[in-house]
Amino acid sequence: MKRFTRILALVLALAAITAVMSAETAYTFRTSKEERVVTENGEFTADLIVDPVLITSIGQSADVSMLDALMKKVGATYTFDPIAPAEEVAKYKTVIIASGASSKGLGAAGISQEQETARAEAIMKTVEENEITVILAHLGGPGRRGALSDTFSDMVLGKFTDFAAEKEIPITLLATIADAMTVLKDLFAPVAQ
Amino acid sequence: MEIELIILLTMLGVFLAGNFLLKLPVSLSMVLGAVAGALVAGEGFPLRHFFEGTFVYVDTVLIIASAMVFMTVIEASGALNALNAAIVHRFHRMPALMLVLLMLMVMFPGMVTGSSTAAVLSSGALVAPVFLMLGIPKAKVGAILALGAIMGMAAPPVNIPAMLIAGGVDMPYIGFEGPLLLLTIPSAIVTVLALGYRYARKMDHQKVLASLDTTIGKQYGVKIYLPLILLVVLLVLTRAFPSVVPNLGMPLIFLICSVVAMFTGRKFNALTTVRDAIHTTIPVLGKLMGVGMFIQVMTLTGVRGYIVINCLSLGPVLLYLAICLAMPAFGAVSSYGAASVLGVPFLLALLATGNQIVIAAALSFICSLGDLMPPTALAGNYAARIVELKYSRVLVHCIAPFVLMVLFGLALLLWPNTFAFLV
Amino acid sequence: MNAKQTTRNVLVLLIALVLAFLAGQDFRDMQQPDKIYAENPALTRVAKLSEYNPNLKGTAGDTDIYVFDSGVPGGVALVYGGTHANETAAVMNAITYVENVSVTQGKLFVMPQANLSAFSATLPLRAQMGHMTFTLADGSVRTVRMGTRLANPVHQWPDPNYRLNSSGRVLEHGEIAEIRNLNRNHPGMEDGYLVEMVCYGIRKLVETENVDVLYDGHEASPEFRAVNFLIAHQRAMDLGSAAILNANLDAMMEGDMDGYPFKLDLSGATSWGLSHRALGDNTQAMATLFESLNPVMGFCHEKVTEALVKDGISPNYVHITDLGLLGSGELTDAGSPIELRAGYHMEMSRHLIGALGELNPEKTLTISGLPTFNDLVANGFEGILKPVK
Repeated sequence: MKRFTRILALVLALAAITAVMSAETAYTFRTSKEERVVTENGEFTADLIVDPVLITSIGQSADVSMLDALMKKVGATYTFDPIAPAEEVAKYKTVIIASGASSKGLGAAGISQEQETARAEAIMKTVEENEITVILAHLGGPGRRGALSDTFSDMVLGKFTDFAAEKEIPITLLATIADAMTVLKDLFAPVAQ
Repeated sequence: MEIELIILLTMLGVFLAGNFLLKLPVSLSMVLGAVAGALVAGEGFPLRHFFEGTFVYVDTVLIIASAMVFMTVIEASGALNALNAAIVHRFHRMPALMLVLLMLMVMFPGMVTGSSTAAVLSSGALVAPVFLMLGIPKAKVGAILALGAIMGMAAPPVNIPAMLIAGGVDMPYIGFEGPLLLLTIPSAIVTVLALGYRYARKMDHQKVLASLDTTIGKQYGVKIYLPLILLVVLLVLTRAFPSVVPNLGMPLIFLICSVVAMFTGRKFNALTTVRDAIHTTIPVLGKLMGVGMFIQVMTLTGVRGYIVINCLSLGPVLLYLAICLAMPAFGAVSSYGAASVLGVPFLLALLATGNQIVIAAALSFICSLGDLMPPTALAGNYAARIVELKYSRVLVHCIAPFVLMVLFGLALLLWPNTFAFLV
Repeated sequence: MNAKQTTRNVLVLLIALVLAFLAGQDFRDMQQPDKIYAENPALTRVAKLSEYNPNLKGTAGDTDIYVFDSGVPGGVALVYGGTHANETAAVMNAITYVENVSVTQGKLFVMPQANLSAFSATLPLRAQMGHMTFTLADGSVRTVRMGTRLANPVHQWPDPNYRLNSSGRVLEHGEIAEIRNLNRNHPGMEDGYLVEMVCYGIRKLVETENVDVLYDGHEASPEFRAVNFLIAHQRAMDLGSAAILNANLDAMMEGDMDGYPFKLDLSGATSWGLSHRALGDNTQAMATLFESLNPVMGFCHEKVTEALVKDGISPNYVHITDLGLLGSGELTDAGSPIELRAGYHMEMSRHLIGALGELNPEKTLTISGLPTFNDLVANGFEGILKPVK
């Protein structure tokens, strides 16, 4: 009975330790009904964009398709290649990378997680060597913030408001995906001749 | 007080009053509880819901009924007696192994039918005299039978609480064998050895053999075991080669083996034997049907959602505590009910913590232990009846194994990924 | 057995028979077909699925298909609900099309009750309401059956313990009953189990009529991880993303700046037997599937009342949302009413049809006549549905 009680106490203690949860720092939303597009740490202006422009994905989530639809809508001129290798990226001056992991997307593209990680590393090396402008687009919302998605976002630039504040680079936050039209129009819409 | 709590207390209260005060069978008490719950909830007398819930487990009812026929038939044919005698004769010099094999015999009907009662009433009843002859005290024999039957119920291939829990979250009942075997076989072995080894190693082998019918095995030879062999073969074949072997279904498999048993051992009156089998199993079948109605009404009246919400609102420590206490306690109503009503929300709450199959298996294991809970405790009560004691005296010897088994299940809940290799 | 016992036993049996007879009326009611308004002047004809698979003729799977043929060459779409008969918003969306739509270019096929057999039974242990009712302005009542996820076992039994179906999906062990699930057996078999034959009929419809886009409407419980997702075959991803964007832009134009909570996901390569994978792989159509949020389909809901079933109001699920336990099916106090859910289906399918012409002008399918989302939500189905004689 004594031994049994000791075992019981040990198990309960282990259970208590295992059950301790860490609290996360709460995030403050920047956008609101009145302010649907909020830019911090500077401005996004059209002169940031240098042709030719490439849209690609890191993680192969469906968000790159949404970005493609947005860009088509604003009438932008760009190339769309979700699985562009680093050598292909090197041919462009501006790259918009939609980050977000999807096992279905990776499977459909015939890419493993490891291959996508290697591709991401190679792309980021290329953009640095060639001084290519990179825009990180995360359009999947909270649902696309799993461990792998976050890893991919970190590989491109970093996660999001904290990184932008630390590096003092502009970040635009959107209330909904359709609000991206406003920003993309300013950046990419063809100028009337 | 929330209306759902009032309805729940009414349902449980009427059930307990029916069972304790009016001495009604558990099944009818559950029906009354369900009717009372529907009335208090303002649903009137929702006949369609009563019928729908009652018949949801009709396929399980068929399996249990046919399994009981099979077990009764092979008992009548002498196969179980022969097996008992063979085990004691061959393994008396290895008392530990002998005890374990006898325990597996107790478990076997539960493994194939998913019913602890079937295990106690068939092989349990046959093995009990052997345990008693080994010098194991009656109360401990009762505990061995009850716990062995429950381990059989929880062991694969048929674990009904696991099927109910998995079904509740649209998870297929696949890959459960490994975790369930890990939980049940060691538990059964430790139980029988802890309760019986010190008596068994001192047994008088000659005296024990003298009490067993050793002639039947000699008279019929291997032929007497044919129904058991055929059962295992058919079960394995239909599972291992499903694209080749046609779908017989477990009821038909049991009935085929029952028919074979009529020609492989002692002659017996088939009609009387089958009638006795059904008569014995009616309380279990009724319990399943009563549980179905009970759960349907709990869903209809919002009681199920109320229980779920309160479970999900628990912090992690309380959640695990609730699993270890509330699930077995709900077994006082029914372990199947515990699986449906509590097992599903607990699984939902734990989905993100690790391998879901290991978690579901562990939850079903803890649910199954609820079969010890009075007043229902069919397996426990029948086990006590077999050894001619009050259940309270048998229950005393079940407590320590029960606690250790709950902790074993808890370990798999806390570290599910560690055991994921079993899936 | 003595006379007293015999009398008691006989009495109990008689009572049981009476109760069974009375309960049987409820179950028989579920076998009565739903009345769907078919007086829309734009309706060309009502076809039967057996026209595409003759083996379905006279069976419980021979469902109606409402054909709207403008006679002008253009795109072709199939909009259907009722793959799972308990997912009522998809059925109501299809019914809304049948009653209101008009087609001026291209062709539209609408199938409200794809798995017709499934409408004739309810799901045990879920304590379902058998019917959803709407009392119209003229006092008449429209009802729609809420059935089960799977075909009625009365129509297709027994379930084999092993089936390698036409998609390559193996149905065994825990998936045995899925042989009665339409959405696991595409593209189907001409002469197989009932549900396989229904799937084959749908496939032949898509092939024969050169359907360009198909929309399979579903609902899901809050626990499901892809609520409000459009699942698209890879060939339908451009279409899907354009449709979602257009839907949101249109909503913003209407003053709803938050738009719709639609998200896009790719059909899994291993989703064998599901419409978006199997029909996308085996036909020319761009296959899509959409899931709206239906709280009564979950395990955590309250008492089954009209407020829960029709209005989707569930304080339990609001609480679970606040606990952060849900991946996508978050619920607020406003609930998830049938009009909102059906409205999402309507907007999603409508914009898929619109995007078809946008991306492929030669495949323009021009439809009109559907109520606006705001009208549907504001007036409810009581104000939208038409009386049936």
